[in-house]
Amino acid sequence: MGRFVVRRIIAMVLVLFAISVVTFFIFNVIPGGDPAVRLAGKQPQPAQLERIRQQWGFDKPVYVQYAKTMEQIFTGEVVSYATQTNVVDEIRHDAPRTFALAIGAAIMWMFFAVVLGLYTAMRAGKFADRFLTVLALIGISMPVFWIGALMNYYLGFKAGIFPNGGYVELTQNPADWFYHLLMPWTALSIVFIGIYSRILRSNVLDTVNEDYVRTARAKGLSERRILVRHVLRNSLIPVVTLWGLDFGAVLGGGAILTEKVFDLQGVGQYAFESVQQLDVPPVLTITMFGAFFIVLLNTVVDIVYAALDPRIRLQ
Amino acid sequence: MAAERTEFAFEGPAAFEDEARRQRVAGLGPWRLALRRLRRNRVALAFGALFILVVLVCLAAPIWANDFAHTGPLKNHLTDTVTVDGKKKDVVTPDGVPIGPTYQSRFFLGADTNGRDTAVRLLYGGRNSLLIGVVAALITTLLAVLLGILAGYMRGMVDGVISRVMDVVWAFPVILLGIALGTAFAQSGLDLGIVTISGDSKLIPILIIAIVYVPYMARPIRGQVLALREREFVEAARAQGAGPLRLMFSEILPNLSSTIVVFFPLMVANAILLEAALGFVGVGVRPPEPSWGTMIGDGVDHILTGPHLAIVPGVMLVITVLALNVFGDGVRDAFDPRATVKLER
Amino acid sequence: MPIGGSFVRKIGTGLAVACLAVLTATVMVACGSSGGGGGGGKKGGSIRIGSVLPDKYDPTQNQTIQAYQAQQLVYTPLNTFKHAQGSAGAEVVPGLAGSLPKVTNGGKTYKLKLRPGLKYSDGSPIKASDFENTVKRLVVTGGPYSSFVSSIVGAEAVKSCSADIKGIVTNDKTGDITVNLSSPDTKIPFALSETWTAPTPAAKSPCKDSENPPPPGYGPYTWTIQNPSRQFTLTKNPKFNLPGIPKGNVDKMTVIKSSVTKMTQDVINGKLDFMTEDPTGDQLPQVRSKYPDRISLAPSPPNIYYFFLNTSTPPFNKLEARQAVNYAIDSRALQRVFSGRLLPGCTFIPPDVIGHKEGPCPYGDPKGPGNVAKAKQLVKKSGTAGQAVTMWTNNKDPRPAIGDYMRDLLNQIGYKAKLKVLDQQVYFAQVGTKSNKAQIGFTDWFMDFPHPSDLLEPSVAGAALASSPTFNTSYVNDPVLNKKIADLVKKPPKSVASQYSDLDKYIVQDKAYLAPYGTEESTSFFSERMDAKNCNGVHPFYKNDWLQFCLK
Repeated sequence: MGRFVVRRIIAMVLVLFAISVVTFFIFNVIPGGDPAVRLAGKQPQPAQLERIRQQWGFDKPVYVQYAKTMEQIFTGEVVSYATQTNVVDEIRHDAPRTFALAIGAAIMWMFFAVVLGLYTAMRAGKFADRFLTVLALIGISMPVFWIGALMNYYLGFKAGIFPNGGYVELTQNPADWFYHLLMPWTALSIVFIGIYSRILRSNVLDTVNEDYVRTARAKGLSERRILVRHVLRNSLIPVVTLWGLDFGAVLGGGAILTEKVFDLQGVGQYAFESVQQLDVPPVLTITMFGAFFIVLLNTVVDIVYAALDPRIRLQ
Repeated sequence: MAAERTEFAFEGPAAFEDEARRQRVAGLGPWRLALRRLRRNRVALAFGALFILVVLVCLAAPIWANDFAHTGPLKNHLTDTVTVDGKKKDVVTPDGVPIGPTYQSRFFLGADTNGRDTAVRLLYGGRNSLLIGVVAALITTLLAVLLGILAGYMRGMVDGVISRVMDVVWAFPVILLGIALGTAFAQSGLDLGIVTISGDSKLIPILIIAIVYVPYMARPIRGQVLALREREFVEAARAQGAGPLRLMFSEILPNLSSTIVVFFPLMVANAILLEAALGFVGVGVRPPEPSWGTMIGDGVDHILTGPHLAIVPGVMLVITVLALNVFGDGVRDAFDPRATVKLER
Repeated sequence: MPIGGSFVRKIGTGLAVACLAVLTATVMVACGSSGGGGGGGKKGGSIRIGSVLPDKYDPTQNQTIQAYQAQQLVYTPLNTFKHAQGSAGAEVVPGLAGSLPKVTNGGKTYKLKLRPGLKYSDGSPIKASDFENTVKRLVVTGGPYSSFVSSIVGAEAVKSCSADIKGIVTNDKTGDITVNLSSPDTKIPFALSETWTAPTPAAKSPCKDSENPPPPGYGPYTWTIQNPSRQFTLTKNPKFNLPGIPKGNVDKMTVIKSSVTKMTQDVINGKLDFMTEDPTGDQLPQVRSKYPDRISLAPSPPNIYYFFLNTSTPPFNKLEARQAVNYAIDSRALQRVFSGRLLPGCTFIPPDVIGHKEGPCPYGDPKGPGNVAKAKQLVKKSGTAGQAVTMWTNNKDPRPAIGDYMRDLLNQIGYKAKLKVLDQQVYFAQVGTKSNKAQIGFTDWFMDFPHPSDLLEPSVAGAALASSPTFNTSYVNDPVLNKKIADLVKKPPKSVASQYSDLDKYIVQDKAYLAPYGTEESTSFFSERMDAKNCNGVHPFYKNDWLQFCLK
């Protein structure tokens, strides 16, 4: 077991290294992407460009620049090309918004997925089941940025029921914070509710027919006890692990679209704007953070599975 | 962006043994059985037909454009007027507000802020979105099957390298990767030495989407191959002296076919959705070519002055993806009503 | 308002600039300036402004108007621009110096004298040598406008702030400042009125980009930067007292970073009082229809939007082809793309810049339809019909839409046109590189410097081709034009305004080196509590002079 854990952690580090190299490479390979010209602004003079190149180290070979940038990321001293502010500070300011969005949405989608999944499983085959399944499928088919934009327009701008985007700090006004996040949470959850309710439904249907449930029924346990104790718990395990992985994925990149639509000014939006401006330091930093989360959660899940299922360890 | 997952990863090889045993006992080949079940699934067939309908309508784009709307998807009509209910209206007002749906042959679904006919762009855009979706899904399938078989069969070093590369692609925040690659290539295309792809080419978004989804499909296939290679028929073939290539592609590959068929419609659906996301952030199909994603992106930017611009392509997109999802579900159910291999979008 | 007109007289170059100041004052007063100083309205109060925040806080380093708007309240240069609403704001008036510079020696020597007894906001005395220190900082750090002081003897050679600029002689006891130029340079009077030459205490102004905190200055307001990327505050400076410069109305201005969409909503519901940006194209029609008395449009700061026509590569190496584009353009269509914020025009030199003349428009009325038929004819005549043309533009809104309009238009007049949209960060560098052969593309010019050479030299002078990337994206190298520009630049602009107009005519009508279509109008959108009518501070160079803001 120990060896397995070590191997997975080494793999994790290698993957993160590969991601950092690839990201850096993509941006340095873009033609016309001379950061010195962009930093200089209007009508750059050649002497000015040279000065900037020396200041920022653009005249050094690519791998030296890479090493320097990575060092800056680890020491927290990364400075953006575009705004010349500290990237880590910016991320620290924006991160709570992204976490608030991701965690809130995750709780929301788990809750509704469980409820919906159980309900449709219990009414399997009946009209309610088919109808809700179609709804779930519609949910899966909608792009989050589209449904988010429409919600923002109809409920926020036209009807005025909800605020028209934006974010309020939790410390400033908890009620307003919640109010501003309801629509983004809903938009982000719709897709996942669709997916997870269906997974849960099929897991429940599978478990219900398992031997141990039949035994429990034969023993005379109440339906409810069986449902909660045995069926739900066993159905939830795979769902919970998938939830962990998807949550990592949302943090890593899925939140970007929701933040953009609702103008939440979180890490995702910051990343998006930085990529558009070809601003390498924030992009590299955020990609590393995002990838780190995804890879970490992946590794944890793998380790947990290995602990539960010895067969996997041998792979 | 949700992840594709299968429960395969932890179900283990045992489930497949059961699977195959069950089907062999039934007597009919798995394909005939599946087809029969599919035919009985009215809902899935109906949605399958819906998808075909969408494809046909989009293919008929030139007919609408030439005979009804009398314009093309790229033509600007900024200073034109159109007669609606006897009144002359600006296609785009001097304030920049485009006209909404007129439900007439010209500007049936309104115009965009450059005065282009939305209905015409919707149909031509559909061609692009569908083309990109299908081709990307094909490429993903090809690569995923290839890599999955290699990794699963060869194991050891080959598996290690392929799996780690898959991990890197998987771990990359999808949207950021898409934006980064899209921005990088939009500038001046891709120069692979042997072949140069221009920045405008649709091949760029196709390749980005295809690559992003390879791990989603390659992993379950790898798992399935891991199981299959231990099976008796493979042992038998090996005993007969078959080399690894023959084993991989003549023995194992056919057994993957049902998995592939089940995955494919869902891959297309996901590819279309990712194309929309890339278009939304501005790195999909290059302007002025329309696609549903770029139309939604432009529409969201003008949602206060022209909500129809975002609603129309979005509804079309949802209908198409829904049709694929329902049909894809039906196909999966047809191959095994109680399938333990599930690709959930 | 035509500048020059009947007041222009031929004056010997030696006295030209000295008389220029008097002339400007007379002309301005005669043409009628509306409101001086801070306008009517209440004094006091505290307001919140939404902005994208300065790119740089150090006054020798900034390039954006958002930086300029704040800095002009904190730093006063030797001269400054008048704080009046509308075109009256273009007048140069004395700042820290007691009067406008005395020009002698054939335009090569400028003499100024500091007002005595002035102190910076931190209490330290203002010294004449601080001016030389600022110029040194500007040159050594390579500030964006450092080239504008290149005519000062010895300025370019300076490598560190401890070195001496031979061309600047200062006497701290008397407050005398003498600036010697290597050749007459009519840009210098304007350079002396910009915040990038404003004196700051030498002790607190190191020879590098000083962002946090920036050096102290002397102005109607002082500033504190709470967070350079999020917020800063301007507070009225009670010790400020310079004749001719108003002291400001509002006591405190808090400037906050926000996104454009959010800013607009906040100004609508009063959470912000003003925004430095324009509402998005999507929000603008709603704002204009619902709050017409709180929003106004003005073509400031001076700008011109045009399509460059690359004369070094087909098809626009042919005159007829270039003329065809000019005939075909319909500014009304482009107006729609700008959500109505475009003032159609047919000249290259825009309104409010010396040399602008509302002349006859040979290619048709800019407020009317384009002449596509004539354009088609010309394209055929030029022999370039059917050629492949790529229209270049970048992805900043609404430039893609402008690009698509032109692409469609090019197809209409007989070309096979495609569109190429590049990221705005790299666009200008790409079209400014000759080997990319960008045939036609989007470009614009926003005034940095109130001198027509600021427009003409980078965009159509042969000398501009020496830098790479170049702003002369039509790749014009016309000896006649080069000579004319070189000659005119030597003379004070007002005195040769009509010759600049002739040059404009030559560029657009005779040679069609480019295709201008109008000036972008910027918005001034205020909250309910601000006095939008009397105190909007619309200013030709600052866009909005915050000094003039007041509450109702």
